[in-house]
Amino acid sequence: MKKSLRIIRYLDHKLAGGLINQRGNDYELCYAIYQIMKLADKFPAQATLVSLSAQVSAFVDDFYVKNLVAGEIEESYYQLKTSARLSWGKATKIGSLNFDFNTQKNQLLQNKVTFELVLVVAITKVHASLRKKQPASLKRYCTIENFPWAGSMTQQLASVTSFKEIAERLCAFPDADKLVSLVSHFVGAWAMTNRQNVPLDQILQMVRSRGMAFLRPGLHPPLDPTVAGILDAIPGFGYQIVNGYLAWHFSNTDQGYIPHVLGSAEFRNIEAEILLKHPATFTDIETIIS
Amino acid sequence: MRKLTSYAIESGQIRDLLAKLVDGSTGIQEYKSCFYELGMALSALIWRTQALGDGTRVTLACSSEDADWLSKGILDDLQSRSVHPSLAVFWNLRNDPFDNRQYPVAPIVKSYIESSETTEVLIICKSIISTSCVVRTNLTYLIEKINPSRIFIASPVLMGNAIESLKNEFPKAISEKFSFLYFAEDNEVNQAGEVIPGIGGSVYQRLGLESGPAKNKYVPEIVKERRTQKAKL
Repeated sequence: MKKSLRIIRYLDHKLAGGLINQRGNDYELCYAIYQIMKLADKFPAQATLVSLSAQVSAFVDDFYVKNLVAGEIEESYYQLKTSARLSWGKATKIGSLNFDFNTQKNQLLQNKVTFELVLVVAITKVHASLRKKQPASLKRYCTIENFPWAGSMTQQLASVTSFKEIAERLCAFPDADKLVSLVSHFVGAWAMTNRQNVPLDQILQMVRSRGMAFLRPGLHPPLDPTVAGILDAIPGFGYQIVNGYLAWHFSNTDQGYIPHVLGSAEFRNIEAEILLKHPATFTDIETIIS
Repeated sequence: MRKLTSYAIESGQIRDLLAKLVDGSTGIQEYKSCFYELGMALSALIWRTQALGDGTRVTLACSSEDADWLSKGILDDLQSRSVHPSLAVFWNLRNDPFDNRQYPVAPIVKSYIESSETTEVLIICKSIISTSCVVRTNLTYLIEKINPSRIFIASPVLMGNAIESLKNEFPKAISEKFSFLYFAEDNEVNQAGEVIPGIGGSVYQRLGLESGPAKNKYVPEIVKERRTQKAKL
């Protein structure tokens, strides 16, 4: 069989395998969400210029970012590996990492686009070994990243600092339950798409539409001054506007959050109810803001 | 297929209470009473199996919908044994973001937490533990603030995989502290995500509470009473 035909067959096989793995691969999902959150943090105002795909038709295929923001790398290809044993192999051996990354590199060099190839590995030892033995032909084009996998999205937030930090940058509050909610909303929004050329803006709009995602809004209006006056007069009750959300406390036992961003229709309804009922005690306000 | 624990097999009263929860014709008041009685029974089980002393510092944590019945049963029984727990009540917003049932969330939107820094034993109770999302959320919140040496997870009914699933969500150093106390284990879920036979459907509906975000407007009587007591001190 000619080598070109063998390569086409290999690519078909690789893509089919990738699609099957994708269904149950929490690691790939988690990394995709990590990248989406990083991009959302870096390009909030240019989110229409960034698109994302999973399982693309390529040799480095698990995740792909197309970025049209001026000055940024145009195409980023990611291959994800959780194996405890992994080596580069020979560049001539179809199916080796060396072959996949070199073939991808050569194709992209022909296309004359700016690009990066990223090999993402879960195991720290594997990461060190792959870095040490990285083929010279890939050094300029390929980075090797260690992204540990804690086994679940909740554990990932609890134990992988880079994942937690990016969630914290986007989340209105640092509490674990709010971070989990934000991440799960990104997961849900990503799962709703076909995962092919999805504009970052589309995902951000979906997440932003759900107040209980606790995604920090960009701009938001201030609290209605009359409402603020009513709240200020309630004995023992205190509140703060934190990243577009109202957090409150009463006595040293009670605290809470209104799970809607200031200026949203839901928040305006609460303001309207406060103006209408003019609560004077915590008992009066408690059911309005719950 | 329901599997009863040996404690429930031995007790006709517990079997009756579990059957009344499942029975759709059980009225709201009786349904509430069943949970109160099951709370007392869970507390008795804790007392019988977990070697609590009368000076043990305990925090009892629950969701708002469980506070007045299941949790009150546990609290009253412990108090009758000279254990006086601090109370922590959480109002969660349970949701499957964009209908993705694989990643349910239950962020806390309100909490009532009495001083609990010196807690030795944390009891976290729930009317039923299915996805364990609410228990996981509230437990995560509490163990960031307190460091109990033992954690009891108490519920009349558990879904078969709940124990493993909850343990997997915590580091071993935490999950090693868990003891699960329950009376029945079920293994079926219907299309609405309710455990079968479970507790006979949606707990909010059966308790006569609103469902969804509106249920968080309910302020349990036990919270009102304890706030009043605190204000008098």
